[in-house]
Amino acid sequence: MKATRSRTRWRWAMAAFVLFLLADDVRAANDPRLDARLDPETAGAVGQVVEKAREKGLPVDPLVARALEGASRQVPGPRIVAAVQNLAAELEMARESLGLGSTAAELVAGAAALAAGVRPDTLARLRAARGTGSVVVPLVVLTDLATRRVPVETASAAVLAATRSRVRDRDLMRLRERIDKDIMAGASPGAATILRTRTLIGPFQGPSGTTQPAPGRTPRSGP
Amino acid sequence: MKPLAMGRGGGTMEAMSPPADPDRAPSASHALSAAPPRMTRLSPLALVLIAFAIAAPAHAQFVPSASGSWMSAWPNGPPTSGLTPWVWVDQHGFGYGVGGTLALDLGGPLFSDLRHAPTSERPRLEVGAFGAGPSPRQAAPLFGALSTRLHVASDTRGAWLASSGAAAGGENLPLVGGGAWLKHGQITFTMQVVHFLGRMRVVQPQASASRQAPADTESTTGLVPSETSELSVDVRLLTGAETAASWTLQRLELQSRVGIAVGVHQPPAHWGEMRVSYWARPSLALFARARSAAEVPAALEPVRGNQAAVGIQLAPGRGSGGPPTRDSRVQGVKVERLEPLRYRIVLRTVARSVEVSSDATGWTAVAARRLGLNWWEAVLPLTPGIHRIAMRVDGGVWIPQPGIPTTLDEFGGQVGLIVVE
Repeated sequence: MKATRSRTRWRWAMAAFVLFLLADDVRAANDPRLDARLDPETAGAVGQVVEKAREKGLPVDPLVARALEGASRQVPGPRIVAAVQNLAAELEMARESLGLGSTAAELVAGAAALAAGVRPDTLARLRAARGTGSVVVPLVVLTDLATRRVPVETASAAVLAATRSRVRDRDLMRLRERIDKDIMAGASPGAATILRTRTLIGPFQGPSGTTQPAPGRTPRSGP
Repeated sequence: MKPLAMGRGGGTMEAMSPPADPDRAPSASHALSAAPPRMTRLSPLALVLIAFAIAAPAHAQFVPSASGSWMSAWPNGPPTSGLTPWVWVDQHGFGYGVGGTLALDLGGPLFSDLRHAPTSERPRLEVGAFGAGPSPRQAAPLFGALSTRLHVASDTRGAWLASSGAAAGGENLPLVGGGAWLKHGQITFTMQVVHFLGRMRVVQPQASASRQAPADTESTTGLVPSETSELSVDVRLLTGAETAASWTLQRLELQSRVGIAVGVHQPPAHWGEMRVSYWARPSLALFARARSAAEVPAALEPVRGNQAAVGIQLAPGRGSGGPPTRDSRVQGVKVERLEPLRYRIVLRTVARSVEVSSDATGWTAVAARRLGLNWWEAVLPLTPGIHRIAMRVDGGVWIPQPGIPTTLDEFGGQVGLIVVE
């Protein structure tokens, strides 16, 4: 009887050990998509970034996708690794600003906004304005405006004001489209944003402070 | 689930009334508005004018066609805003010029009551100023013009009516005209007609004082032999027609113009011009121009005869020079849900091939299927969340689909964003 129990324990221990080895092996293995599309050195470096992000509880699919995006653009490996590292840092910063309960989509949208030069505290204000509602669309609109050369402070003030005025996501998207058309027609991005926001929500004067991006966080435009 | 990031390119207009939202409550946004009501009413006009005055235009494309010409009193292509000075050197010396235009969207916030165009096209008012002249050592007059064009334009075609109060060498040159342009791929075709409303007497050098005047001019002003071997010519009811084509390939622009003018008491005049520009910097171009003109009155065309010139053109604020983020050929994009997790992207463009790439495809290019003439469709698996997406036409540069939100792609370009709920 004693021997049977000992064998059983031994079997459980072996099974646990094998599972541990397998799990460790799975953790160490790169995403097969990375191995298929990147050179081994780049795939390994990206894999490390992905693994660290996984340990921190960050969404890793966007990181893999960013690496694949770089591969599709045929950019050098170091630039791909740098892009993935930047995204991981931005995802982490977005989570700090938006809160631990944020969805993966919100973190991705927040990371894009940060990459466009939006201040982290703007993300926090958007979260506060929306409460438990999703901030994906406000962040996407904010990112788009910043990408279209609307001064970041103006874009942030406009989206914050619209969000605080309980403008729906669909109307935020419509606001973005109208600003885009004005810009394409030759209007100043900042002036178009102020005018269209005023049309949507009423009195709006734009930012009261500087119109420059946050210190140390200038939008990246690539090399 | 439905995509929120739907959009349409192609310059469609929409009503600009604020959406009704009974739940909307005036809240913290009021903290940003401390201006008195009167200022609030006036500020849109002031803001737009100031913005146009100080902001760098994104697509300034005012291109000097000649050293100063009555057929160039206004730009002959799509309406733009921008300031463009240029200098040139030819076999006779140097010349210079500066042109500036300001395009106002009549479908914009200032002129929303004036929209009468079809929804796919927008009326625009373009005001411009243009001045040019040759070296002071040359006898040709300075040319200056203030012009207005009323333009109806979409992304690929447009038409305009124009008027100009021009002046050359002390002569007033009231001009009216109209024209149209059509963009096909990288080529833009333009044609315009310009009519000279005024009447002026110009003096032209006369090689031989015994030259016979044309029969139809003798009874009015005619060709009057002068003591200094110059002829005084009466120019009136002059009408010119011109056609032009321009082709853009990366940093190179190739342009050609041919035209003819006929008028009372004026022998038919014709001209032709070829010009190639190389944009060495986003706002600086080197250009070479070859031009031939005959029988054009000097007051209307300071550069007569044949000319070969090279020059420099500036276009402050013409663009960043980075990779293109829009393709003007793509006129519209629509995102539709076919079934859960499957969406189709429909776009309209003139192309031989269209490819779509996205994180949903692992950034593998997916060939779009041709639905009909200039209509293309790509089906993508899109899960709820944010998706980055890009497209390219005829194997060109990857760009975001027009009409949808965009973001930087970390690799020197931009991609589109689609939100799937």
